[in-house]
Amino acid sequence: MMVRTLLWKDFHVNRLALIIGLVLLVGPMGVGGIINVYADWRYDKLVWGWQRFLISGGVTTLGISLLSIAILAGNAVAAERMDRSAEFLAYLPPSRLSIITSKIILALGCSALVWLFGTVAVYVIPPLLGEIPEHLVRFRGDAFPIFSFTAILLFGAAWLATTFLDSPTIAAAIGIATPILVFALLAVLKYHFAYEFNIYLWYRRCAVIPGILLFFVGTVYFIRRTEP
Amino acid sequence: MNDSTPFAVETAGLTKLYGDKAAVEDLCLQIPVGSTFGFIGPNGAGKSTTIKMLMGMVRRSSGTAMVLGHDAANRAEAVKHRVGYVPELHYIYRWMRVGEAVAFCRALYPTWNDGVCRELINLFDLDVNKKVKHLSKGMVAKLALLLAIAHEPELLILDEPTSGLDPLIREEFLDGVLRTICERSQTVLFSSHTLSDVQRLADTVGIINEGRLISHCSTDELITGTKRIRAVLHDGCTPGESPDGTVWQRFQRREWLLTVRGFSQNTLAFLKEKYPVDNIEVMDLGLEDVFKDVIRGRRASA
Repeated sequence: MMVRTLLWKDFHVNRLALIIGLVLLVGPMGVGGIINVYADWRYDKLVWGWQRFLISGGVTTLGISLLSIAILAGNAVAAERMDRSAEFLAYLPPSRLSIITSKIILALGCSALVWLFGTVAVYVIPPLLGEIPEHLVRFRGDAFPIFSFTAILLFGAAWLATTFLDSPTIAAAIGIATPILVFALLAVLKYHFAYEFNIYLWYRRCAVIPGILLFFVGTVYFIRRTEP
Repeated sequence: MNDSTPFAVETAGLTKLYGDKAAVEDLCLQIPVGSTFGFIGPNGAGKSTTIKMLMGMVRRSSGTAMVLGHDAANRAEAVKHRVGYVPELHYIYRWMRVGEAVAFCRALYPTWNDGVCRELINLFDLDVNKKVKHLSKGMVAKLALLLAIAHEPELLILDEPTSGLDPLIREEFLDGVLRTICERSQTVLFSSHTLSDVQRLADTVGIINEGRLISHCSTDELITGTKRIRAVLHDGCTPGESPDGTVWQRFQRREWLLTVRGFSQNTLAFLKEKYPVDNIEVMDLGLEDVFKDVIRGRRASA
C-alpha cells in the first residue's frame, strides 16, 4: 500500500521525464517509418523494407533512449531535493527503503520497457517478416550490445549521482558523461599508449560490473543517509 | 508508546556539530507527556536543528534523543508514525491538489482519522480541488497543520509554523492547534518567534541561545518570577554588585534598570541596603520582554 502510494507520487514527479522518454522512444521509429514509406514509394521497394525500418529504427531508438534513461535515473532523488519536496517526504512515515524501492521500480521498470520495445523491434518482429539480410544482422549485432552496456553504466552513474546531488540535470549529465569518459579512456590506452586489447570487450567489462556497483552504492547510500 | 517513560521528548547531552561549530550543545531536555512546551530562541540558536534531530532528519554528533520512548535516530520511522510535524517552510508537493495531498498522507498513516480531516477541511475552509501551488501561504500552512493533526499524533511538533502569516490566519492556525491540545491532550512542542503565541499556548518554556538551553521552567514561573526594577540612585553613585538572579542590567545617568529572575522582596531590600536609592519601581514583564532581556544579558556577559 505504502509503495503503491509512493509509486503514484513518483509517476507524477517524473511525469515530464516520462513524456520526454516516450517521445524519444516513439519519435525515431515514427521518423523512420515516414522515411521508409517515402523510400517504398520513391525506390519501389528496391532498397528499403520493413525489416530495415524495424532494426535501424529500433537500434536508433535505443541509442537515443539512453538520454531518457539518464534523465529518469538523474531525476529519481535529486528532483525532489531540488524543489525541497524531499523535506516534506522526510517527515512522513515511509522508510528510506520504501522510498527508494518505489523509485527503483519506476526508473528500472521504465528502462526495462524501453529495452523491451527495442528488443521486440530489433529481434522479435524482423525474423517473422522473412530472412534478415546479412548486413542488418551485423548492424544489430554490433550496436545493440554496445547500447545495452552503455545503458547499464549510464544508469548506475546517474543513479549514484542523484542520491547525493540536488540537481537532476547534473546527475543526468554525470550519467551521460561516464560511458563517454570510460570509452575515451580505453581509446587513449589503446591508440595513444598502444596497449593491445579488444576495446569493445574491455568497454563491456568496464560498463556492466561498475554500472551495477554504482547502482548498489547509490541505493545503500540513500538508505543510510539521514538528511532528505 | 513505551509506558515506562513519562516524557514525550527526552534528550541528554544532545549535540550537533557543523565542523568545529556547535549548532546544539549538550542539550538536556524533558517534555512531559500531555504538556505544551514553547521552544524559543534567537535566529540560529539551534531550535530547528534540535527539532530536526528529534524528527530523525539531521544526524546528531553525540548524546541521546528519545521521542515517545524511541530513539529518534535509530527508530525514525516508528517516531514519524506517531508525530505530527509542521515546519516553518512548507514543501508539500506543489503539483498535488489539496485532496490528493490529503489522500497521499492518508495512505501513509494507519491512524488517519477521516472525521477529524473533514472537520479541519471545513474549519480551515480548504478547497480540495485547488492545487497546492495555487494556495496562499496561509492556506498552505493550514493544510500542513491538517496533515500533521489528522492522523491523531501523540506528539505535535510545530517549528515556527506561523512565521510570515497575517494575524487573521495566525489566529485560525492557533485555534486549530488549541483545539487539538484541548480535545486530545496531545503533547505539543511549539517553536516560535511570536512570543505572544508561545505565552498563550505553552505550559513550559525553554530558551535556547547559541545551541545551549539556558532556561527551562513553567511559563507562569518565568513570567511572574521575573521583574524589571527601575532604581534611581543618588547623584554620583554607580552600581556595583547586582542582586542574585539579575539577567540583564543597564545604567544611564542615575537610572539603573535591572531584570531579575526569582524576584522577591529580598531583592528590593538588597538594593535599598547597598545603594542610596531615591526611587525604586518594580514592573511586570511579558514573555517577550523576559526573553529579550535574558538574551541581551547573555550577549553582554559573553
